[in-house]
Amino acid sequence: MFKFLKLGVLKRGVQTKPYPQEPAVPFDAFIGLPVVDGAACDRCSHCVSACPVQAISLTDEGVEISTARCIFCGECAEVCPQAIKMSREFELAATSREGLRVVYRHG
Amino acid sequence: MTVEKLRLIVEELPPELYSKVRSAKVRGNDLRLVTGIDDLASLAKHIHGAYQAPLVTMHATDDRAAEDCFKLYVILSPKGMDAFVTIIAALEPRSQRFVSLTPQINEADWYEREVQDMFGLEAIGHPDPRPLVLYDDWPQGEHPLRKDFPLDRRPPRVKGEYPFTKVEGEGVYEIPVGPVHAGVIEPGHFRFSVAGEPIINLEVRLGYVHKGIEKISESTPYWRGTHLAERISGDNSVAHSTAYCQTVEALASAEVPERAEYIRTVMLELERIYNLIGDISGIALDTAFSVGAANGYLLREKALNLNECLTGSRLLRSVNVIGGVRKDLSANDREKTLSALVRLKLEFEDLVDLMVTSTSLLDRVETTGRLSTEMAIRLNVVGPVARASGVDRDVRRDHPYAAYDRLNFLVPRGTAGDVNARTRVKIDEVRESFSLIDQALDGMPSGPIRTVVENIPAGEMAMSLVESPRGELVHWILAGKERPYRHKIRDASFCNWLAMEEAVLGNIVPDFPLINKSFNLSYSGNDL
Ligand code: SF4
Ligand code: SF4
Repeated sequence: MFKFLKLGVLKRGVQTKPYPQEPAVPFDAFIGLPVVDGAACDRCSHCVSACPVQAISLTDEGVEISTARCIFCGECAEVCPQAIKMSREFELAATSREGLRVVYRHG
Repeated sequence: MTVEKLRLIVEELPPELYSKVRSAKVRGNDLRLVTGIDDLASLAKHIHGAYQAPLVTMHATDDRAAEDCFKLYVILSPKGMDAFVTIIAALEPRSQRFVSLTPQINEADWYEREVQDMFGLEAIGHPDPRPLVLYDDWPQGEHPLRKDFPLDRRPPRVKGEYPFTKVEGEGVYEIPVGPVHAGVIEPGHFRFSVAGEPIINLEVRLGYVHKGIEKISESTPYWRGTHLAERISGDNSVAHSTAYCQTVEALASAEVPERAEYIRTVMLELERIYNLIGDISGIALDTAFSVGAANGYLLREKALNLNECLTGSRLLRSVNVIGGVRKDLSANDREKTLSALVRLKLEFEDLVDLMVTSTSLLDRVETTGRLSTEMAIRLNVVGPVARASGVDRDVRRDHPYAAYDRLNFLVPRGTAGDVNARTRVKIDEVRESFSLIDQALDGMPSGPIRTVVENIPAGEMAMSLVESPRGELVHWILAGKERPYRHKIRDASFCNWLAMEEAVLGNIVPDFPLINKSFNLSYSGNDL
């Protein structure tokens, strides 16, 4: 028991956060949902071929990203720095398949 | 130096074997011997024995389109040399049989069973030719790695049963466990034969998460293969992607910038730290030492946070890229890492103190799950498990890659080969990892982090070994047009699962989870 106290392992305090009551903020470097700036997109479709898992499609509406497929690898943002940025958005759970489609409209 | 040593291996061959070698070439640090299929076993046995060369991998290729035959590759690693011997033998045209190596080289066992399943080649004289990878309901005559088996083929399911080893005797009963387990772990079936409390036989049946990664890789362009490699075994993503990238870089004879080598080293060691701290905490958990476990997992979480802070990914995904690394480490990253490591080190020593002075924990881990040195060598066990049984092998030192040849580190070893020894080795390895990261951050030169790798010549082959947290893993690629023609992957777990069957013998069933945790093998990496 003495050892425990000496080491302070019983005095770690609260180590968890009251999420979701309070927001959890990831580190700056965190790689989350790719976000497309529709206005900067010239529909060249380089991102579509750069995506290793076919998560991106170009439609009449705009650029569509499937969060069901995306592995957050950052390849798309690398080929298209003008329009795509990896955001820190991580709350991507959805209750329907439709909710896993993120559409960025062409500007 | 290496070239001479390798040439000497050819010169030292006994005359009856020398005459059987059709060609001998040295490529880099790889001696490639071509021989006839009937002489493969005796040649491999000679090199395996004479140079204490463990079997690194054994696999087949389907060359029927070009040469009307299948080929077998046996790769051995002579002790004390940073070099390999690759023996290549073509089966007779249209033949699907070869003489099994297993009676001569015990560790060829699972490799040959895998070749039987995936290529439909029969290993004549194999002591245990049951299916290894293909599941019981897989139809006969369907072999996924043959080139005429399309990637999208879904063969019909058939009725089948796996013939488990039966142990009979008075009072002997069987306990089937899995494939679905109570916790969120991967699927595997364990068939225990028990007499009273002690286990008298264990048979591990895996393959439930076979994903066809080697097959998928054959239709995956190289650049995309890195993402695939990261997902072979999720918690070893840096180790696998490093091995993959290094293989492709070797194929193209590309030089990776030195800074990238250092960054890879840092990432590889960060991966080792969070994995091994997880293992150590798991051992505490399975001995019902909750305080130790809670503190351990807290530390692991801090290590994962550091990963995220540096790379954006807790599991260090998307770190590697063919030709280097994707993201540089800034001066700020360096400071953050150093200060996080200082705290981690202190808290890790607290955890170690707590664990090694807990008599209730020691009582459970000492003498539990012993794996003798002889057995570890006989099965070619790798990684911390092998080292805890006294085997002196670590790829980082013996076949250095990334920046390891410029850094100082010890290779911790144990002797007892029990859960205690494995825990101690893992503890010491974490300490070495802390020091390796410090050194790598200090010695890291400035400069580019990525080079362009192109023109990968078809028909060329290359291999890379990496010491993952679980031990040595291998990627071997025979290049095709812009993608691998054949991509052989061997995770450390593939070597170590059979050792668990040995280590549990004579132990009581309640100690099985603990022994299992001390091995901490990957199902996904084994099943591929
Ligand atoms: S997002 Fe970028 S890469 Fe994709 S279509 Fe638009 S401009 Fe091209
Ligand atoms: S982050 Fe990767 S997986 Fe996701 S959309 Fe971009 S390229 Fe595709």
